[in-house]
Amino acid sequence: MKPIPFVEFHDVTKRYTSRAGTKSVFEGFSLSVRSGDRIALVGANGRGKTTLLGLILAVVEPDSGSVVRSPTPAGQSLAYLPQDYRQALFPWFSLQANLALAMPRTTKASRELPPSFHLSEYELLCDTFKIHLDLEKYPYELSGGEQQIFLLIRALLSNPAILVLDEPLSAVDFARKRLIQDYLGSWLSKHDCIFVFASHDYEEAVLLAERVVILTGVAASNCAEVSVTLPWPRNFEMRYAPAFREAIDTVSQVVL
Amino acid sequence: MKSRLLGWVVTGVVVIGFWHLALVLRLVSPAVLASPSEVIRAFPRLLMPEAALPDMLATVERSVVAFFIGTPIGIFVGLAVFFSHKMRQPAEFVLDFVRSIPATALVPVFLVVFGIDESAKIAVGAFSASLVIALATITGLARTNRTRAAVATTLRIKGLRRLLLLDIPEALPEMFLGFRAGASLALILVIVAEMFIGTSRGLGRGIWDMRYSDDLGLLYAALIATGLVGYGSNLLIRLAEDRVLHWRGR
Repeated sequence: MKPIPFVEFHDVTKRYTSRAGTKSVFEGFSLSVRSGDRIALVGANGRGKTTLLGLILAVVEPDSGSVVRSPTPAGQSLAYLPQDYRQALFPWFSLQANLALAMPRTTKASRELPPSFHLSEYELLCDTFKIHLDLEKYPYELSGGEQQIFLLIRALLSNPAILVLDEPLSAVDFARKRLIQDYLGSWLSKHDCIFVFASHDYEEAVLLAERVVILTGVAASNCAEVSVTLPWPRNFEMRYAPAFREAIDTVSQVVL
Repeated sequence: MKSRLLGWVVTGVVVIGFWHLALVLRLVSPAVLASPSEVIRAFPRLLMPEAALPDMLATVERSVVAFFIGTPIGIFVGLAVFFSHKMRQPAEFVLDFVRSIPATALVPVFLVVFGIDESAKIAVGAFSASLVIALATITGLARTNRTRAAVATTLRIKGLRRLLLLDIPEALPEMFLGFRAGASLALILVIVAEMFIGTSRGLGRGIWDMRYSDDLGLLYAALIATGLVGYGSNLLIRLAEDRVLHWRGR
């Protein structure tokens, strides 16, 4: 039997110390995430959304407590789209090399695309998102929104076991944002991965998640959770559904 | 394009004009400063085989050799110090301290250690270049962007591959500053060493020998030639930099 990928937070504490003093982001925080979970993180600025994603990815260490993550299965990736998308790609390499570096493989990461990679899949995704991103180009030749979309395409093509997106569409124009959200709504129904993303857009959060985790700050025991019961695949037509509106109303109330 | 050329001409005329004026108004004695025309007339003599041309070539050769010995040593030391964890701070302090000793003061030490042949002159240049390059490498490695470092970790890029794919490219802009400073230090120290460490060839020797000569024009021409060598090496590295660091500032 294949093990089910998971991430578990046990009693995690995370504080940041600056000149202004020590700020606690998480105190005794616990959360359990299983494969197939679609989780949206919302909450006011500075409440620890990015820190939580960092803890999942093991790029942030907790001060106390533990984050246990199942090992990434062979042939799958740990995909991450950081909030500062302008600093996420290696500007000294072309888009092709940047794409290749993220592809899962049995050997070490390489600047050459693996034989299992099909360029047609990349082109298909570009066409779906109505964008043309020449792989010969360098990251700095792309606009901010284009870099963000490229990072998303890269993440989706890398067969992620865990897909972590930090405000993934913040720089994308409105029309294309809707297009991509709809695509994700159907992609998620077909791919069995842990999906966690942070967003300030409640509609996006409710559309793409079953669990909306609201980070409320340390005082109110760290977080609250709202379930979204809409069926999959999701698309933006559902925004008129009563369950959708209800979820948005609840989230808005809890955040404030 | 035309107005740009004009700017160069105007600058040249102003510089030479002030130089000439300083002599005409006796602000500077003609016994210590050659006139522009003397210097210009001295230049062909500088390039004659029996005059300063061999000196120039000898100096250029020594500084280039010193630079190319000092650069890999500096990069290696910088990498070793940066990745030595607990040793890093003390080791960095030692490097910084030794660098703070004016390298010219070390010329006698090198004379004692390496004797009076070629190796002393090259070693002192290579030594100075390697120090600034090592420190620049350490500074550059410390600049690795945190977001890219996090992405590299999630992509399981580690060890030597991380060094080659991420850390070194991140450090390169700072390292190139080190290369330029190193090349200019190598030239300075080779010239100083040539003045003090017995040699028959070299711009340092040539300039030192001209100190009592009547031919002030030739002395100043030699100084300008030295400047050109330094400027030229800096320019070459900058051209390489522009090619290599295509992503910088974008």
